[in-house]
Amino acid sequence: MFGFGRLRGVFSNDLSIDLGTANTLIYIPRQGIVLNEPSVVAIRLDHTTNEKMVAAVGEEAKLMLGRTPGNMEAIRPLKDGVIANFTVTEKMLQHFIHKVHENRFLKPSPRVLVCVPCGSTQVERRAIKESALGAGAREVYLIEEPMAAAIGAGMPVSEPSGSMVVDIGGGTTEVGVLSLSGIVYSESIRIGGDRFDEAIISYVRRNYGSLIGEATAERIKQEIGSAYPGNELLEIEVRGRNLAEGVPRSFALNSNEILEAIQEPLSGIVGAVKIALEQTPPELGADIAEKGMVLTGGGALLRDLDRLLSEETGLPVMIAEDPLTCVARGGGRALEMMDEVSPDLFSAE
Amino acid sequence: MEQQSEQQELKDIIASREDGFGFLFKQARNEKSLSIDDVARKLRLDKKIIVALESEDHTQLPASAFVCGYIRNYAKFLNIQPEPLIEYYKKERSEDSLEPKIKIRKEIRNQSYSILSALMMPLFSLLVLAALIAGGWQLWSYLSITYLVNNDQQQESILSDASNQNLNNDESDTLLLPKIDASYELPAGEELIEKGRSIVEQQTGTDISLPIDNVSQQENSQHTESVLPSEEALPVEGSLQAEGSLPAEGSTQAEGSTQAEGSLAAPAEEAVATAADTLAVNHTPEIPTASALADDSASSSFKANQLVMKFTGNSWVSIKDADNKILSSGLIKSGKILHLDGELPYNVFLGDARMVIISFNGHVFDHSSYINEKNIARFKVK
Repeated sequence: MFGFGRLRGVFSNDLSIDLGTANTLIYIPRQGIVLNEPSVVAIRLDHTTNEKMVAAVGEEAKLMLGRTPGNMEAIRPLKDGVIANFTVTEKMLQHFIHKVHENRFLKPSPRVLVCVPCGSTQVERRAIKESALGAGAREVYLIEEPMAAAIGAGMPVSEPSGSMVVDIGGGTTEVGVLSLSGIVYSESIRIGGDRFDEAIISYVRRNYGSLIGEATAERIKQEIGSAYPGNELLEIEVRGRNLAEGVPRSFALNSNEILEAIQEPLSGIVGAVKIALEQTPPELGADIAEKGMVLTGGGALLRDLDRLLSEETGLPVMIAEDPLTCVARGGGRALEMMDEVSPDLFSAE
Repeated sequence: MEQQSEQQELKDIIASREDGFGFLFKQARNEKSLSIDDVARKLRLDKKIIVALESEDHTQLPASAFVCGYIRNYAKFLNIQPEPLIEYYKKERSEDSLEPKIKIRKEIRNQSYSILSALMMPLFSLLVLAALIAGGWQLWSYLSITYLVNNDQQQESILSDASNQNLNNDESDTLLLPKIDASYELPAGEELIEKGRSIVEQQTGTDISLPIDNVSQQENSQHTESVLPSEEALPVEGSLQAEGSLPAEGSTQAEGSTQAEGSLAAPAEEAVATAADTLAVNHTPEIPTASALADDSASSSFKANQLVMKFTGNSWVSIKDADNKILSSGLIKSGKILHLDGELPYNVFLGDARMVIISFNGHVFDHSSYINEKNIARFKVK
């Protein structure tokens, strides 16, 4: 079995997977990002056999979120950066691994590197490892997200100089201070893009007495969401079910309202960054103060978030190139360097 | 569209100048009448970094990942499109410097892989694997054959050594026995016995092959106690054979010995017979005849009471000695040779008797008369 697995491995690519709460990205060394799909699985319940089967995965399944009939269910198997539904996660990974290995005669058996939140527990890490193995991986390596994000952002992680990275994902925000290929300080808070959406939903319900779905909330955040009061006021027209009348109504929202709505999760992120700076050893703190911190992850795309952090901390804040794919790219780069670099780049289980 | 045209314009400007984007910053800053201090305070950067950015002094700037961020922030602050500047900066700095500075020893990893090479690698590894397996199999089969051959040779040489040693020992033992017995039983015929002994000595010494057929049937009938059918092969007759076969030699000595037999008549013959009987009962080592040795070319050793079984096929065996001690029990594979010692008589049970060649005390023992229709044989060896 071992020999055969190795043989199949010759025909499989090494993969770096950013198994995120919102999106799953797969990076293949020398090929780049080959998959970027929402971490959503649609499950259909077959009434005759009473068996559950996968109806759709990824982009297709995301369209079904909140729009499914009784016998179907669109699930987001990850919550707060960790696995909430083991079997569905396994199915999703299996689907994605097959998707990037299409037109192959042999069943893929790749070496897989999965990024895990630095705050995840051993049980959660084990679950991620097991599900990747269950999805057909030959070997599974784990890397902590701040490390992968910093490598992906192109930060000099192996130098004896402090680098600070803030990775705002869908479920978690990771703050890491790195030096000499190791993590000096890391903190993971369960605030991310999803929390912004939830905050917007509850704000709309509270102030407009209307109920909007997650997809709509996400659209609002992406289009007019802002973390710092700007010069221009943006507006968006949305539709939601009026709670009092029970019928869908349309209403307009502006960016200042959204800023007010997401104030709570924003202050959580700012607080985590401030705590990280507090906990950082002074020498590394000086390096960070000079060079600044780098934002990665989808959350970094929130308008003026860099400005907010810069104002709050008094440090230069930069947004990484292509922040959405930083973690996956960093993981892929670590996978390429697997044999060369010290093992402390990888996280223990 | 407006953005794109603006970007293109910027690109053209940068391309037309030799000093890159630095002047753009300086120009825009001067237009807004801002000092370096203002910018540094606003961007929360060190003054030297702003100066380095404007003069494009890369030695003063940190890693590319940070510089890209500075350029973007500064450009945003001055309302310039940042993308062309970053693009230019990246082009100017080699691609490697944008990667995290972790040394990669295997340069091959950075080489581009063509489809052909991607296909060739697994194919080549498969071929090598197949060749290795074939080679390994050949080697294994060769080794196992040579091992078997060597083993057989070794076993044969051990057996022949052992038989030679036994032969020597047996000679010395048996030469004494008749003397003692005869002298005790027959004090009168001492002289003749002595003569007979010297003849035996001579004959064994000259290694004359004695035809088994010459053994007298009379002697055979005397050994009624023995169950073994191949009585003539038993070396028990060794001493007697010597006497019995003497006429065949046709020498004067032979005549003398026949005379001895004749003159001794009944008592002498009886005494010899009893002596022979005791030998047969005690199964003391005897002189194996040369013919017996020749017969036993397959395999034999000449230990006392030793039962040697050679298996030409798989057979189940169970052999117990007089004390009911199991000497051997179980399925013996083809090609094996069993050497069994114990107290007589042996109870032998063979599951597939046709697959077994038995020799007892160095003589081939034909057990075919005990084999029943199911190829099973049960007999006793006394």
